[in-house]
Amino acid sequence: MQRLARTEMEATASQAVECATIKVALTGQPNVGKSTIFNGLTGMNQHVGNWPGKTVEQKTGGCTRGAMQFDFVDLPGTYSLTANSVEERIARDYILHERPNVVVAVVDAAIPERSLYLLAELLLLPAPVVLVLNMMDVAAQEGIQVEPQVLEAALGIPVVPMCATKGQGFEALLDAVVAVWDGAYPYNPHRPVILPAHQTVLEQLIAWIAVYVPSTYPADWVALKLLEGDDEIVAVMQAALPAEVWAHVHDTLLQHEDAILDIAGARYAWIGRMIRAAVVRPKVGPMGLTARLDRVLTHPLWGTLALLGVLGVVFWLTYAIGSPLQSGLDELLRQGAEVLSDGLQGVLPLWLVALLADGLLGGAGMVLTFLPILVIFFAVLGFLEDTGYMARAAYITDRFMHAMGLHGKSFLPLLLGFGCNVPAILGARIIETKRARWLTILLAPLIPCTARMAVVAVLAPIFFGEAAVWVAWGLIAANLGVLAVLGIVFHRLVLKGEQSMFIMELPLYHLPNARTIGIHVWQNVLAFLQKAGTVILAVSVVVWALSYFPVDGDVTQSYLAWIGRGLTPLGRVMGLPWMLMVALLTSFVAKENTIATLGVLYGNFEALLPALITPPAALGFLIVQMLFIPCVATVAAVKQETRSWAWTLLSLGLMLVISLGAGILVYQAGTLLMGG
Amino acid sequence: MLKALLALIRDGDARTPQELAAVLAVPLSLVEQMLRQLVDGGYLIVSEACDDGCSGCSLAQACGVPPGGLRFWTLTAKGASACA
Repeated sequence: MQRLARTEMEATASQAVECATIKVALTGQPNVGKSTIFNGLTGMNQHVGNWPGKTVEQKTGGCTRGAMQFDFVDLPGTYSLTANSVEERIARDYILHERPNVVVAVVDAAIPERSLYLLAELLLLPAPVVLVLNMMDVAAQEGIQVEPQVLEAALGIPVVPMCATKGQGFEALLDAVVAVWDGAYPYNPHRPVILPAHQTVLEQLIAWIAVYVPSTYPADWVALKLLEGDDEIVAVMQAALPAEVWAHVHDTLLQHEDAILDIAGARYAWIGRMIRAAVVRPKVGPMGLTARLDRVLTHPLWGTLALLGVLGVVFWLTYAIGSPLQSGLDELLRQGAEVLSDGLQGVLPLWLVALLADGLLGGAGMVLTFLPILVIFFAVLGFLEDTGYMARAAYITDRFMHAMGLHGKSFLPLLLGFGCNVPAILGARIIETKRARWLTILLAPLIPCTARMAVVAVLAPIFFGEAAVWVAWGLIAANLGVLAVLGIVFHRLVLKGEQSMFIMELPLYHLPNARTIGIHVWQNVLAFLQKAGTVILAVSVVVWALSYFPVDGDVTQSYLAWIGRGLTPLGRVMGLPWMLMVALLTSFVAKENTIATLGVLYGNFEALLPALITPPAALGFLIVQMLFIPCVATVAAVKQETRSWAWTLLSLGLMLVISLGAGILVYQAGTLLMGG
Repeated sequence: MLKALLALIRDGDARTPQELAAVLAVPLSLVEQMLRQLVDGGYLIVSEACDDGCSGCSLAQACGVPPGGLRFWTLTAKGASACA
């Protein structure tokens, strides 16, 4: 390649004797100030049209300097020369076929690494290159120190620092162009080197194709592009080569299909060396702050502890602010129910008064008293999301995902499950393989959704008072622990150890926006109110009716009691009365129904429940609540997405066994430990 | 360097572009460029929050995706065999 470049240099120098016009092509990525340089060089002396046969704008222009005439062509902005886009094809075809005397590569001095891949490709083409470090002022403002002399020594080509918008560096650029053109500059580019193994293949390819390569292409460049798998060059050479030669070339290319990784990898390594040699970046700044925070928040130990701490703070805030407000609303509701009941006695039939006071206000109304808790809960989660912390929480839990060997695309659906399990299951559609998708769907209901966490937020303080924060925190950890264990087991059984490794993006931290958080809270509260006004209201009425009839108002002789007594044997091993078992049962319709049902059956359950069940039974009940079969909307989503009753029933059965098993275990072990 | 990047992902030694940049001792923007090239070559798949799988989902508004979304790059079979 170097031999060829030298020949080209000699050719351009001999042209210089004949004419004093230098043909210069300007190249670079979009937004590096290439047009500003072009305008600064050509002024009014420019022509704008289209590239022949293309809709891409072509700008040409010129300027004179003494006896020297410069003709400039502003090539389209490109990121590389791989012929992936029409702009890239135009740029490389112009250099290959029109052979400018000099190519000027414009680079943004604030982010030079982005443009150096293009430079690495330009250095392989048959035209000498001058590098322009534009926007040196911007780089200086950002504290980035670029050393043009060091870069020039490392690259072996002229490097010109410029601030085109301030008119600085134009003379130096023209000097460098002339020096390269007339051979005064010792042009000796240090190109990326490919691996020795591929060098042998490259030489073999050159030997095969050299005599058939169309005259406008350099043979060694064509051979390299073939090895890179460049579609356009492959097509050109397939047409140019005799069939038997093409067969050899084709077989060789198939054997070295991944050579692009070594060739492009060598270019990136070369860029890395150039940047390390010539660019010094500031240690502080927005990225520095994020990096410093992430040093703690994404650390395996400290990050996990921070995540657990954040979860604890979320629940503490929810309880500290939300619970007193919820109690106040509850008291108001209770007084309202009494006033309603007293006022309507004798006016309406007794059953209708009971329905309004106990069924509607005691059930659906009770659920509405959660509202302050939910507003605070959603506001805190919205705050964490808007600062960028939730991505870190995802990153920390991602360790478990890797341990489980779950597909990278499983992660996002499972993350969504913390809001609601339904979008988590629908979100699994992005996973291509059926086994990984179904496994994600199986695990998604184990993510504690906001509805389940809201129920825990109401019940935990009733049973455990000041220790409620720790209990809630432990319940979430238990859910995630069960999810991890099941994931590992199913990964071995269903995915048979198939690994799928991935990386994820961590956005910069930023100040939260009040409006964004407000929208997040509003959308979630609205969804909750819609559920309270429909599903929860309907279930409250049904539960009330089943608890009121057939013997008016006597819950112990009601239909519900009859159903509940069927659950008594199971309730006994968990230390739970049938009313709590029925409350669990109604949570199948919607998780919040647990509270509505307790409100209908017990009335003032906050005062009554702690006296009715022991702490181990209460803890067992909360664990069952968290791990219990998902709500009917989630089950419908599982059926819809898997289109399999077997998988849906497996999911339901699995969660039923796990939840009840865990509840029994906790109650029995707790009772034993407490000497019961 | 591209094979080294794929191997880092395969071995779980780097789990974010920032970690890749630190291990490979190159700027983050260069890692992003490499990731783009590996996606174009079929060695990685990139998944973005609410991409095609979530289109038409009535709950998309309330699903709690972090602002700006999240991107994941997953190693493909081609990527895994290339760095084997």
